Amino acid sequence: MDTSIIGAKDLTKTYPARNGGGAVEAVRGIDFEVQRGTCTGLLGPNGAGKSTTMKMLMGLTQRSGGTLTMFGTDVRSLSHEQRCKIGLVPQDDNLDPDLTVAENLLIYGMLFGLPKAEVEARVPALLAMMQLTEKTNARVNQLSGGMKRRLTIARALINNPELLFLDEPTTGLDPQARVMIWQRILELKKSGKTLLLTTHYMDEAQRLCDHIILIDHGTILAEGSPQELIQRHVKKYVFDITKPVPLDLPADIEHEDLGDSVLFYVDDGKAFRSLLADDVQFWQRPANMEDVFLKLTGRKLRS
Amino acid sequence: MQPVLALTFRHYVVWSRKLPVFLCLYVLGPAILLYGLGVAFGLDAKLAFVIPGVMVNSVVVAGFIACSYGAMERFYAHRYESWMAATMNVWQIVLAEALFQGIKGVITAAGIFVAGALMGGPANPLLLLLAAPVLMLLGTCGAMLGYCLVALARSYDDITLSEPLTTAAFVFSGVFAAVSLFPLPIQIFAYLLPIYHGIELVRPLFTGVLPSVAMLALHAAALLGMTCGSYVVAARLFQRRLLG
Repeated sequence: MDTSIIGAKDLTKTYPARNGGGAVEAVRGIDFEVQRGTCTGLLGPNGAGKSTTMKMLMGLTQRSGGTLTMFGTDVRSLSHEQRCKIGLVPQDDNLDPDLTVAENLLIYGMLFGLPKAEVEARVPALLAMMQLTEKTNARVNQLSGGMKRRLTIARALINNPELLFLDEPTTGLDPQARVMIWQRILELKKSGKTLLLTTHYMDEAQRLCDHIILIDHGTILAEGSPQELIQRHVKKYVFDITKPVPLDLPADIEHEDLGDSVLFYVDDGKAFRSLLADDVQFWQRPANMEDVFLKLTGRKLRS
Repeated sequence: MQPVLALTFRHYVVWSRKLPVFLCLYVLGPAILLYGLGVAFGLDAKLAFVIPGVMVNSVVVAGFIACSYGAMERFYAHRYESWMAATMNVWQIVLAEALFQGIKGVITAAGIFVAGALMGGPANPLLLLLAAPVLMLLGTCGAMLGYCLVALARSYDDITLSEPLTTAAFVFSGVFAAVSLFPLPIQIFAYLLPIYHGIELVRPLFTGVLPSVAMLALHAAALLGMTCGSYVVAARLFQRRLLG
């Protein structure tokens, strides 16, 4: 049985040439699926094509080629009822600053065509869930960055969507706010909602996602669960050894020079540790998604 | 239609926060203008002629400016993306804004009517009631034209380039003098503007000089055509701008 809620096949987006520049192929024929009830992460460096993919999914930009379906229907032909099953937490804060916190939810719900009384009944529970009850009548510009993000998530839930897009939901937030939002996202996942998440934080992706799609230069580099990706692309442990690095280490061990230290990737942490003398300064940790990400996309800065 | 009304309601909620201030301004601004013009040129005998002209011009220009600057601000704040994520399409968004500007236009005109009455002009509220449908259409049309401009403008500076046009419309559309007094090219320019046709429809109510039914029908058809046409152009251009 097909349990996918989103399906992309040979999905392409080319932005036409502008201001003397050439056409830009932002997405180059990608295939992916998002399974119902899971949290899927769409990861990649700046300019990788993930935001363009999100925009195509949300109908905010037209695809240039391929097919893109949601709930089994082409995204261009989604019915009003199908579109009402989707929620969006955008990357940019686009709350309505002219309205209060409660009005932001009330009017947003009414835009979906929901009756005012029904939306009014949902507002208190959503504000409580996002710990914003005290700010019910505050104006948006009186909220902190973390509160605005929480309100944006509450707004995306006002229509009780089955599918929720979260475009960098915790960017720019302090650790407390991030952890609070992570908890809410995990609760949403437990409640059976399907989540599609983009983030630059690999710990966030590793913690929240069941499935990760790593994208760069408009193509998919790798996909799988966080653990699968770690096992497939990096060793189990990473040793970060401060220079000078001992000269007697086997040359065939996978390593990477970071300047003032060298990273060694190994499967047998105990054995490698035994090779290091007592005076060697090092830090050992399990490999994580950040290692996978950097290995596959490189360390070179993107614009 | 429900999302359109919901978004219109949103615009109303924001606007109504300063309703008492706005209502004062809607009376005060025209009162100052009419007083100044009266002292300078002796308007007393022409109040019934000038007041509908000022009303029509203000309604169109208010809709045009509110929409052009407002839409630009909302565009940069990604507000349209949030409304579109709530299942709205560009046609509905533009219609909601225009609908609100139409309603606001009638209230703006009411302020001018009160100011005119205070200055000694016609004071029968029935005149305003009869003019209301035309005023609503004019506010809507002004809003659509504002959206056309925003769809083409790349910055706020581009919007300010429209100021000579609004000034020309104010002077040449028949607010202060019959369009027929101007040279033919200017007359043709005026015929292409909703303000001219709006004035030709509203002014007879105030002056009591009724033109033929055919002429009224012609102006009504022209205004309706301009409003519908500008809606189609505005929505298409704005859709192209938003969706790329």
